[in-house]
Amino acid sequence: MFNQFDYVALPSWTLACSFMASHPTAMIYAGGTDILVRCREGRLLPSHLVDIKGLPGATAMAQAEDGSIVIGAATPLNAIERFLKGKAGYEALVQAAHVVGSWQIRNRASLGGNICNASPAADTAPALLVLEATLLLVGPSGERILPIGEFFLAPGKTALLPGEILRSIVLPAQTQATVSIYLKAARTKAVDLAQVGVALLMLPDKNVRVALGAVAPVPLLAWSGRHSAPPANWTTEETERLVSVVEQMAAPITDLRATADYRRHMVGVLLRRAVEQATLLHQERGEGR
Amino acid sequence: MQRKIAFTVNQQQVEMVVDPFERLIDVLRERLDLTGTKEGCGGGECGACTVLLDGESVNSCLVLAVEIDGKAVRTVEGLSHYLELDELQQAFVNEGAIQCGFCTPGMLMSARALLDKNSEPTVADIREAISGNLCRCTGYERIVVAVSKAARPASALT
Ligand SMILES: Cc1cc2nc3c(=O)[nH]c(=O)nc-3n(C[C@H](O)[C@H](O)[C@H](O)COP(=O)(O)OP(=O)(O)OC[C@H]3O[C@@H](n4cnc5c(N)ncnc54)[C@H](O)[C@@H]3O)c2cc1C
Ligand code: FES
Ligand code: FES
Repeated sequence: MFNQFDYVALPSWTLACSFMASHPTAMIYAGGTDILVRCREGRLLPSHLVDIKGLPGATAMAQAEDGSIVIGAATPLNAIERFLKGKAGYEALVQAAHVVGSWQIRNRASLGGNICNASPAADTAPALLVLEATLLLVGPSGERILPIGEFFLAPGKTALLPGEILRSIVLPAQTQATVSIYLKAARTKAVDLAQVGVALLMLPDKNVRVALGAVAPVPLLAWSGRHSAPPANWTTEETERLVSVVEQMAAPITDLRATADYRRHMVGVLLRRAVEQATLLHQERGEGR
Repeated sequence: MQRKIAFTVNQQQVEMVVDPFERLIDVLRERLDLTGTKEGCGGGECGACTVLLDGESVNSCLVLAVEIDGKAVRTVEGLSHYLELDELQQAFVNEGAIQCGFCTPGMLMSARALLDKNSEPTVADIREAISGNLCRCTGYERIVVAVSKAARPASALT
């Protein structure tokens, strides 16, 4: 059983924000897969759960004419996976959404909830970092846009101000020649958090981005820059150069899921694997054209 | 604040007043006597409480009762028709996919959700569909076979 919170569903984002601002012990409620577990364990004692799933656009997804994609913050991960599947460049987010929890969890767990938790191990966070997602936040004094890279402040702490709600996640347009990959190491294939998560994105102009999960207090963009060769023509030395730069960014801890040494080691293992898979995908696409 | 909710369970219309902190699993088990749905962990880990909400599988321990207003819930009791088991339940019996039976209602609902969307699942599809359902007894093999056979009763899968 939970503590005796009240349940609130309001008709507009503005009303939800002002409710949050005037009730400091209220909490936003999306899929509930994180918040209800914590309430049950007595780690959270909210006075109100403010359900955002019924707010306008909260569970909607759309691709704009310029190719960018807007995802309502409360959209469940399974729906996001279905929507993005087959769209070039977004593979990392499809793969990250797919490895969260179990099928039942993903029918409820939202993308917004996954990042608002600010868990260093949130699976979708590295994918959103390499995709350079931006976040639309609504608060009592209006809207603002924040790059995902500025959102995570510390474990469990985001840049959301009191009364502010994440309304949607915007993914910039990708070209057909962009590929991205997310790989997760975990103790079991399902229903466990990442020991390490690695997201890689390769752009046709030789730009490469790598982001890491579960190896630092926050999900981390570990590398973003130009590489000496386009993705399809990497030599082993080029991959190893990237691996050594990225490995240095990891500052893992030992906990019940893995030791710091294992995590550091797995960063390299997963990144090499990601480069291999991205190269392969790139070649397949090239041949398909 | 208490709320009045109206929803269907196994196609029967139900109305009741619920507390905001009441869970779907409590409504099913305590109020409606639908005790087929089991509570194992109470925290999303075991899948024993799996039911279908508007056709999608969910952990009923992590859904609030107030949220099911206007929705359709399907539980394990809704699979059989009077005393006649549906083909999935019959396949579990035929294949010996049940031992203590505690995980079975959740397994059946996860498998039902899969077969409703994908009538020809591969073994990998089946394993993934039930990856949120823990079983202490069977070792899963017979469950996977039972789901395969329910999907393709004519085939000679072993
Ligand atoms: C069994 C189990 C397995 C899990 N496995 C994984 C896993 O493998 N990988 C992983 O990353 N996570 C996992 N999780 C954690 C959780 O399921 C995910 O993080 C999920 O995406 C959370 O989304 P939600 O919609 O359920 O969040 P909720 O529980 O509704 O909310 C989570 C937190 O974010 C806040 N919040 C939610 N939406 C907003 C918003 N729009 N604006 C502001 N604040 C908001 C809430 O107030 C709350 O503090 C697991 C959880 C369980 C129970
Ligand atoms: S009782 Fe709901 S998942 Fe275990
Ligand atoms: S049959 Fe006993 S838990 Fe599965």
